Amino acid sequence: MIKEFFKDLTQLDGVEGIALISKDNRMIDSWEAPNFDPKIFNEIGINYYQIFGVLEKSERDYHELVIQHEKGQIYTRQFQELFLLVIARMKVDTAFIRLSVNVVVPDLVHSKKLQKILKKMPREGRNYLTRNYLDETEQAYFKKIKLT
Amino acid sequence: MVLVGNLKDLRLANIIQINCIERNVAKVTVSSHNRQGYLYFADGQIVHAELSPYIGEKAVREMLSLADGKFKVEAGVQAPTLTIKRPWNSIVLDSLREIDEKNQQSTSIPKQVIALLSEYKGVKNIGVLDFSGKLIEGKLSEELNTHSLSFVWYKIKKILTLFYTENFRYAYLRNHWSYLFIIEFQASVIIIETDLSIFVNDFVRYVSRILKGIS
Repeated sequence: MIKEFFKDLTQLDGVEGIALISKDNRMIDSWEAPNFDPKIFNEIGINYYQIFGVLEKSERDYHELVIQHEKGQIYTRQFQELFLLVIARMKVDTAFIRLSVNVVVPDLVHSKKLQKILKKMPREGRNYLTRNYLDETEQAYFKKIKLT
Repeated sequence: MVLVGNLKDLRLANIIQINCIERNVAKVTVSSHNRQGYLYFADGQIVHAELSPYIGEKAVREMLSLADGKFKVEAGVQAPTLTIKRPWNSIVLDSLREIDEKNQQSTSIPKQVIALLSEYKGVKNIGVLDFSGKLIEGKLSEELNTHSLSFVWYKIKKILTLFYTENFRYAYLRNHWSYLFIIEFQASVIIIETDLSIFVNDFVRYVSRILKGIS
């Protein structure tokens, strides 16, 4: 699905990985460049669920998070039922990633293929904002945020 | 053998010194205000340290800055991984010096940051938070919970450990009308709200220049 919808990005030098992760923390599809460790995607989803979950309370409707670090960037876009992650080196222009995503997303979100996959996925309705999924520091933050 | 105590009675710098000079293989657990950190020793050196979201030398520095808390020393516990290569005495001395400098500067820096950054066209609000989410200086929109923003900073650091890096340059959130920048600077998190008229790369270059000048 990623190869089909995000062909431009997968062919761009410096893009290392792309993933579509459901808000139930299940991998819908992923693509990685040869040297990229795909295990990262399995561990990363829950963190984004928690970030956007907490921000939702602000009613600011943040839909995009870009993290720039010393080795590159992580571009994340939130949609109703999923997160899109693009992991790229610094040289890739974030505006280009955003543009590619903007162009493709309406078709992707409404595609029968995606809807079929989402329908088939078992929905456990887990709430990752509960104590079981938070470390001690995060729990301390939550006490102050007053989410739990 | 397990030894437990209070950091007010025995300072962490002394605990490190004892373990290194005696060439102990040991694990030291430090607990303070819901945070827990670990130091591992072998061959007369600190070989690994963790204090979420930090690993390595930064974790040592953060632990050394903890004013109170409890410690537990467990002899014979091996480090799960090696993240520190520099000699222990350099790390401790550098860390203590940095902590001291930060304490001296911490009162005036937030004011300088806000004064200089608010001149940029497109900047709406600026707030300087400590790592726990307390607003030290400045003002943010009412609907933004400062503790939530510190939580986001913490999660970003956690995400980056998956990439074996803890140094994030900056992060920003975007909605249909604004950017919200999250920038770690010394012992604080700077939050800047701007409208969408700014060019992110230009703005970040400007902020970097200002922060470099201050430090």
